[in-house]
Amino acid sequence: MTDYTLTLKKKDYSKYGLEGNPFPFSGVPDEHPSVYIGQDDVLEKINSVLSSTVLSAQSNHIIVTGSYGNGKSHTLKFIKTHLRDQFSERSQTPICVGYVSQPGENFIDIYTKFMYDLGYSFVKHLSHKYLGLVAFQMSKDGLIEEKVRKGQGWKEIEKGAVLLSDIVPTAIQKLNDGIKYVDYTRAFIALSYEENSVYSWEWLCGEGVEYSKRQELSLGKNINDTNSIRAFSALKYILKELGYASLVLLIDEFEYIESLPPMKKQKLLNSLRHIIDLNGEGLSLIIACAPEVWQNIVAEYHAFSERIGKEANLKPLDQEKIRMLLISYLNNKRRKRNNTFTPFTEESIECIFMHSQGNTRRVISLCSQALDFSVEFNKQYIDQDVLDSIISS
Amino acid sequence: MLQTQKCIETPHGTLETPVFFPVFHLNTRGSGSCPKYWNEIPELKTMLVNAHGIQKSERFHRILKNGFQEQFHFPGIVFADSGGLQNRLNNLKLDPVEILRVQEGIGADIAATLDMPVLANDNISATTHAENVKATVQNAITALKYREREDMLLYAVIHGNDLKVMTNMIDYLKRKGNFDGYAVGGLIFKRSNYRQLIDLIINLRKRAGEKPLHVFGLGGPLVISLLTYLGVDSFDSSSFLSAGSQRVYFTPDHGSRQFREMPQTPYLPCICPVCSKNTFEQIRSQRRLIGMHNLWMIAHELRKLKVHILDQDLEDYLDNRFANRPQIKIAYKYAKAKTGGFV
Repeated sequence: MTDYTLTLKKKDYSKYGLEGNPFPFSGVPDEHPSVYIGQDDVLEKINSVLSSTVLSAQSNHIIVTGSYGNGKSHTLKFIKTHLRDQFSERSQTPICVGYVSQPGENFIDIYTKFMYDLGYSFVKHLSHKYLGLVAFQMSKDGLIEEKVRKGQGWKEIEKGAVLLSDIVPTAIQKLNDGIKYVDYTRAFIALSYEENSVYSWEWLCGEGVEYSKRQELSLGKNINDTNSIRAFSALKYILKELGYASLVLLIDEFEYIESLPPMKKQKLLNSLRHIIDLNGEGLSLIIACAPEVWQNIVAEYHAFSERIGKEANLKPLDQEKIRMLLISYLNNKRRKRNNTFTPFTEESIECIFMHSQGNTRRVISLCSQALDFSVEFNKQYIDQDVLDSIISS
Repeated sequence: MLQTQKCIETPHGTLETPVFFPVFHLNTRGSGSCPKYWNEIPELKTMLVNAHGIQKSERFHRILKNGFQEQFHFPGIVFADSGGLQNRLNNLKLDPVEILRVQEGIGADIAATLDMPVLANDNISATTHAENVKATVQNAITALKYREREDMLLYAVIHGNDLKVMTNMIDYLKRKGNFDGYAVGGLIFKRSNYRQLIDLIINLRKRAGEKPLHVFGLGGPLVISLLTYLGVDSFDSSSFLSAGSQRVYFTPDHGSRQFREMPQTPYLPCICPVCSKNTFEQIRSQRRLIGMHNLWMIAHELRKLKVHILDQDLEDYLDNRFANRPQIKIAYKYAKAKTGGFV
C-alpha cells in the first residue's frame, strides 16, 4: 500500500493585492451575491415589476430567460438577497421573499421549498407578530384592560403584561375568518407555543405529520397538492395583515417541468395559474427558465404564459462587461478597491471573451483557474500564455 | 444547580426546603386515608389536604370550629390544595373565595388558589384551554384580593401544559400581585418526557425568583432528587400509599420494586423502623406498612438532599445516586447541561 499524506496548502494572493481568490471555483452562484454586472436591462425590468406590485398593489410577474451559465440563478439569488436587506420588516414597505431552487412535480413541492426558504424562525416570528397585532387591537377595543402600544404586542405578552390565553381565542377566530382554513390557523398560532411548535412547523411546510400528532394539534388533514394553494394564499393573507407590501416568489430552473409527463406539467402550470388568479394583489412571481423551454410553454400553455406579463432575457457578456465583472469581483478581495483589472491583462480579457463566448459561468471559472495558476507558477500578470495553458489543460 | 435552601415561615412552624407534603385524603365521613405518619417520622410534620374534600366531609364544621391540626391531632404544617381537579372533572363551578374561606377556616398554613386544571389531552388551540388558563389566573387574583388571613401563605397555581403558556402565566401573575409562592400543576403528564419537564421547571424556577416553588403530584424519591436539583422547594404526592396498594416498595438506594420481583428473604433491604420491626411477609401483606416504609424512604432522601445542599456537593451525590438508573441518569445529564447553559 502506498502511503499518502494530505498536505493542506494555503495559496498566497497577496502579490496581486488580494486577500483570496474572489472568483467562485466552479462558477456556482453565491448564496448571497454582492456582485451583479452587465445585465442592467434585466434588473430594470424586474425592478419595474416589483415597483408596480409594491406601489400599486397590483400583482405582477416576470420570466427571466437565459442560456445555461448566463446568470439566471445568480439573478434570482441577487434579487432575494437585496430584497431581504432593503425591504426587511423595519422598512416602510416590507417585502417577503422566498426562493425555490426547482419547481418539482407539484405545487406542493414549490410551496414546501418556499416555506423552508422562509425558515422556521421567520414564520414563527410572523406568528408572534400576529398575536401581538391581535393584542394591540383588543387593547384598542377595550377587550383587555392592559394598554398595548402598536408593534409592541408580542413584547407585552413576553413580559407577562398581557395574558397569552386572553389573546389566543380571538386570534384564532380572527385569522380563521380571514383565511377560512381552520387547520392552517391552528398550526400557525401553535407556532407561538413551545410544545408543538416543531410539529406545527412541519405541518405548515406541507410535510406529512402522523395522525396521532395531528390529533394533538387538532389538525384534520395534512397539506396536500390540492390544498397547498390554499395554504400559500393563507400565508399571503397573513403577510398582508402584518403590513407586508408584497410577497415575492422566486422559482429557479423552471425548465425542469419539461421533464414531467404532459398531465403533470399541465397540472403544475394550472396550479400556478390559480395562484396568480387568486392573488390579484401583492404577489410577484419571478421565474427563471431556459429560453427554449419558455418558448414551448408560450406555444402550448397560453393560459399560464399570458399571465406572466414580462420577459427579461439574460444575454452573454461583451468585453466591456467582462472588464466590469472582473473589477467588481477583484474589489471584493482587494485591500484597496480600485478601477483596474490587474493582474489580468487586456489580451487575457480578449482571450477570456473568445473562449467563453461571454457566458458568465465560464468567464468566472476561467478567471478563477487563471488566478490560481498564476499564483502557483509565480506569474507577474495573467496574460494570454496563462489562459492558453489553462485552456489546453 | 438552581437549588438554594430556604426557610419558609408559616403559622405552625418553619419549613426547611426541600420539603414533602404527604397527601392526606379525607373521605366523606371525615376519616383520613393514610396512617398517622407524623407521630412516627420526625422529618414529616407536613401534610397536603384538599379544601373541597374537607368542605364535603361530614366533619367539616367540626374542623372549622377546632382547626384541622387539633381535629386530627396533627402538630404540623398544613398545605391546603383547592380541589381544582374535582372542580374541572365534575364541573362543580366552585367559587374561589368560598374555597379560600375554607382554607383559611381550617387553619391552613399554605393555600393554593383555585385552579381550573389543563389536562394532558386538552387541545392547546381549543377555546376551553384558554378559558381554563384565564379562570385559573382570575381565581388567583381574586384570592389575593379577598384573603383575610395574612399569616396564611397563598401560592398561585400555574397550569397550561405548555412552556410558553405557563411562563406567560407566571409573569402575568407576578405583575398582578405579590403571591407568597407558586404551585405548578399538570406535570404528572410530563413525567415520561423529561426534557419538557426539565425545561418547564427551569423556566418557572427562574421566573419565580426567590419565591417558593411547589410541584403538585410528583413525589417519588428519585424525582424529588432531580426536581430539587432544579430548584423546586416542595412536593406532594400520594404515591407512597398508592404504591403500597400496588405492593411497590421504595428501595433505599435505587428506585422502586414490586414485591413479587423481590427475593423472599427474612428481611428487607432497609433498616427503617417499619422494616426493622416487621418481617418481609408482614410488610408485603399490609398496604399501610408499605406506605409507612415508603414515607421513611422519602424522608431519608430529603435528609440526604439537605445534607448535600449544605455540604455544597449535591451534584456529586446525585451523580452517584442516579449512576445505576439509566433513564433518570439521562434526564439528570440533560438537567445539568441545561442549568449550565450548554444546551
